[in-house]
Amino acid sequence: MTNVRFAVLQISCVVISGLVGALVPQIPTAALHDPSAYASQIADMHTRYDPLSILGFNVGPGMVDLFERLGFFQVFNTPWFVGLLALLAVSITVCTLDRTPRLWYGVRRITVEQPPEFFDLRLAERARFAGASLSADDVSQILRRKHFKVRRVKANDGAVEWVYGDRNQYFKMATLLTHLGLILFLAGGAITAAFGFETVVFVGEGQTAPVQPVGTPHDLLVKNIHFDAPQRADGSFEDFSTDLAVYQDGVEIARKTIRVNDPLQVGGFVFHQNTFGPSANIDVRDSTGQLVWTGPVILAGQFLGLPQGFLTIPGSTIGLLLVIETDASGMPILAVSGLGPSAADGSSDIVFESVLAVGTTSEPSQTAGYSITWDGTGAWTGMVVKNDPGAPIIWIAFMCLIAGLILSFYFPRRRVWGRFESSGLSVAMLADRYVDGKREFDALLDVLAGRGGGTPERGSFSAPPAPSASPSPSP
Amino acid sequence: MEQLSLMLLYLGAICMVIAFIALVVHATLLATASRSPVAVFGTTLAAAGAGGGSATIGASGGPTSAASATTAGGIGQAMTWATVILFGLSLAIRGYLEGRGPWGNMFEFTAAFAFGVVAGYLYLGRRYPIRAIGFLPLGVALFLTAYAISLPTGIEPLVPALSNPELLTVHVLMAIISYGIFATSFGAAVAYLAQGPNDRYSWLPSHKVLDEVAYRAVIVGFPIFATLIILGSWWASIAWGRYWGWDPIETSALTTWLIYAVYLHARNLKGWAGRPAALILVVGFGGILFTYFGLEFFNNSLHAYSGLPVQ
Repeated sequence: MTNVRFAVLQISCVVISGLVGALVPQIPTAALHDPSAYASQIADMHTRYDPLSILGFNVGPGMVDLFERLGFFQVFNTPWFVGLLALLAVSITVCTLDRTPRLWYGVRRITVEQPPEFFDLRLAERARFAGASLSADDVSQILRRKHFKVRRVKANDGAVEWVYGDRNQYFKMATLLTHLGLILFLAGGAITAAFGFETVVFVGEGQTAPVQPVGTPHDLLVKNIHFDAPQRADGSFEDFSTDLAVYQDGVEIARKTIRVNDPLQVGGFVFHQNTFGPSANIDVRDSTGQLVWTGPVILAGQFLGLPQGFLTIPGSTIGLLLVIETDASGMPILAVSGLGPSAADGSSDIVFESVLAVGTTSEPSQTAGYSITWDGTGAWTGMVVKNDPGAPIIWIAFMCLIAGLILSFYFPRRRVWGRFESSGLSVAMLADRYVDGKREFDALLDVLAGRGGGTPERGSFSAPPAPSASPSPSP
Repeated sequence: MEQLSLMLLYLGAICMVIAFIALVVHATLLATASRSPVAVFGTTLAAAGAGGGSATIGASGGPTSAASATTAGGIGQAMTWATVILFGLSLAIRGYLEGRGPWGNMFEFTAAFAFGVVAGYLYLGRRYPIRAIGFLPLGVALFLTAYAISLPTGIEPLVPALSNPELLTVHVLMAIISYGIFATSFGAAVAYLAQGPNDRYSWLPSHKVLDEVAYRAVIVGFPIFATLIILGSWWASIAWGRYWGWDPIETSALTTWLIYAVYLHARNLKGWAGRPAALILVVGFGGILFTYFGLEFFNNSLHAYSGLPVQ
């Protein structure tokens, strides 16, 4: 679990899974909970890929079946992918717990008094100013100007004095913040999946709709007071907005015009403008002339690419299937099909068929005794309504992740040692791997040289001493 | 003003072509000179500063850390600077006209991506002697610019989903910076794969320099890429009601980020440093291009905004 190779392997598996998920079309989540919608999606995959042949062999049908069995059409919902993420979370947690004591010990343990071998010029970032006029005060001042925290120790006999500078001492711990961010992100996602509530509400203009299932105590009701989708001269949409009111226990608790980038937040829910479509405004009267329906019917479905909607006539077993199309002259017409009660196999008989122009009414004798009037078209609005208890954790996760990465990569730890002896000053620098150590050490030496250090003596530090070589004592 | 912005971009593109050719010539001359001690036609080989060029041949025939420069290299460098200035001005004017970051459609984003690639190369080129591989990031930028010019160039109002100028500006800016700097890490990785741990070609920067450049680029780009994803997630939560939806583009961006995470972990592992790490960087930049082109090709993505008619 704490092995970096294992971490690399796990991340690689997530990467490969992600690539599969990005390349292979994914079945919408909603269809995964609806067997007929799922079957329709798989049929669509077959239509799309069945003709695929490789070297004359028709591999399409087998490939779709194999992909379905492996879960490639729903990668991010498959147990193996969720398990992979869970394993990654556990692995990061174990790794973080394992590293924390060592990291803490590493940043806390400071050795100011380094032996001469530490300043061996054959090591990287080592230099020596022989006979320099630099004092420990000078070096301390220079280091402080470079934002180092300075400590000084003098040998008992006064022959040697060490100056130690430490910059960003504790920032090495920031890597824990990064890993914590990743863990929290996965935890937040799990909380969202387990306890979050999300629904899509389609509401015609002037209509209201419940947010949660009917019967939920203190359920919210939303009312689409007005939907607007102004178009530009070129036909593109300039904006989508819904004048939205939210009610609870019969009292309006919020009202706002929501837009794609400007949702409404109230009662623990967020209402996002998500989609819209056409509606057909109709009136339906029964054989006695009594109005049984007036208002918009949402045409959220499609029939041969045309907007389609369905309405069950209140108090009747007859349903109306509505499709808006155009006649030969290009004028809009509403095709109305009356459907009888559903049979055991789900099919329905067509009771009547009628075609209406805007402002016209059907002949009751031809529409099962009902008068159906098409008043015109309108628009419905589609909102994503969400209650996400995982969201605060996600934002904390993001902050941890970014803070950890920025501190680790842009503010890494650097340490500088100076050892003063009668023969001169030895300087050494150690830095995290994110630091261009050579460049910074060169810059430091330039400053020291400018303050009276003279020309520093450098070793051939590009190659570290061979393991067998014993460190040579400082002159 | 819009025409001026376009003219500056076209001028920048011309400078980019010249820079690319000059840097190819520069690399060719260095390669030729490394095989022969005799001066090459039209070439001045001389010691140069840190930004000057690549490794030269030492007395033993092996590479040294000294740098070399050619006249072509100098021209290439100057033209690269001209490119970045002209592109920068063009984008600044366009941004002024639009009142937001000028990357609201595929043309603008591609031009800005090319700008980011060139700027990233120049940023790293100031610290490391990488002129000999300059033609690699410049080649990427040139390809992007050619593609950008083939797209509709008009200033169009944002579609409602993108109508969040502040987040659009910062979110895509993060993409431009990180993608741009990763292009140089890609160039350094490709050169590393050619160079090998034994410094096969004396005209190329040493494998240590290439490794360092690639690493430095990732160090700079990785947190910025993370910020890009996080800002995108924040924006998605505002606009689409969810911070993560496994949209093809966000999945692709996350996957790419993870590839660079693998690199950062693997580079310090025995057996992974060197060639394998360089290979990961090449794959990582493949991920960048995949994410970028996905903006157009994944028509089912909520990120699709090429400005081209949907096929």
